[in-house]
Amino acid sequence: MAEIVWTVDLDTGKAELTINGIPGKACELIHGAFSADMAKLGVRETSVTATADKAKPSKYTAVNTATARR
Amino acid sequence: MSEYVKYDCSDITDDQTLIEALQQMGWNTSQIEVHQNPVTLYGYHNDARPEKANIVIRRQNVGSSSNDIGFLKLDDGTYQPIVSEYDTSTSGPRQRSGHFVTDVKSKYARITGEKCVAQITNMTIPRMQQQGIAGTPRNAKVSTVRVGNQVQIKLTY
Repeated sequence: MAEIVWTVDLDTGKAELTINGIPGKACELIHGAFSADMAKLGVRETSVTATADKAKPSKYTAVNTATARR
Repeated sequence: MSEYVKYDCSDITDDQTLIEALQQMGWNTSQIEVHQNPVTLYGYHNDARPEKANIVIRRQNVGSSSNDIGFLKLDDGTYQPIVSEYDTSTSGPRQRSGHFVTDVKSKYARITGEKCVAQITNMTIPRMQQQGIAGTPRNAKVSTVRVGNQVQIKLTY
């Protein structure tokens, strides 16, 4: 089963994307769609973590934040 | 004469969200000046100060002994709050003593967070499904759960 989870912290404005069970290439497309929409809101990306190679289902996390230097 | 203090708020980037945060603190749109080019800030004695800002709340809309409050747009696209020491340390109808910048950042973060939730739900997920990179509306399940100040949006397929 593929799972995409967005977690938004309303205290910090931080939005986190975690992808499980999806091949790496598709993760990049999903990550790109998420980051593009966050950029429209002026929210910048602070980190990306990928834990599998591009051909296998992976865990993939991107963090966008409005308050990175709190 | 009160000194102005500049804060590092590198992540205030969206002028509309900043204005919404200031509105939530009690200022209305007619009290919030927005300038493409930075304008001079004035102090308590109506003295022109060297500091300039793009988004300005004039002192008469801050407090009886206040100075102008400003937000200067920097080259990297972020807004830097410029607030006098007096207005930082004084409580007023719209600001808690010592908390003005913290309150602006907090409200900015909350508004941004709510916009993120709406954007993900209404834009990101439908577009990804249109592009065929995250299931389809028929085979995918979307659930949104709010726990305290956290919102979790889960898409499974």
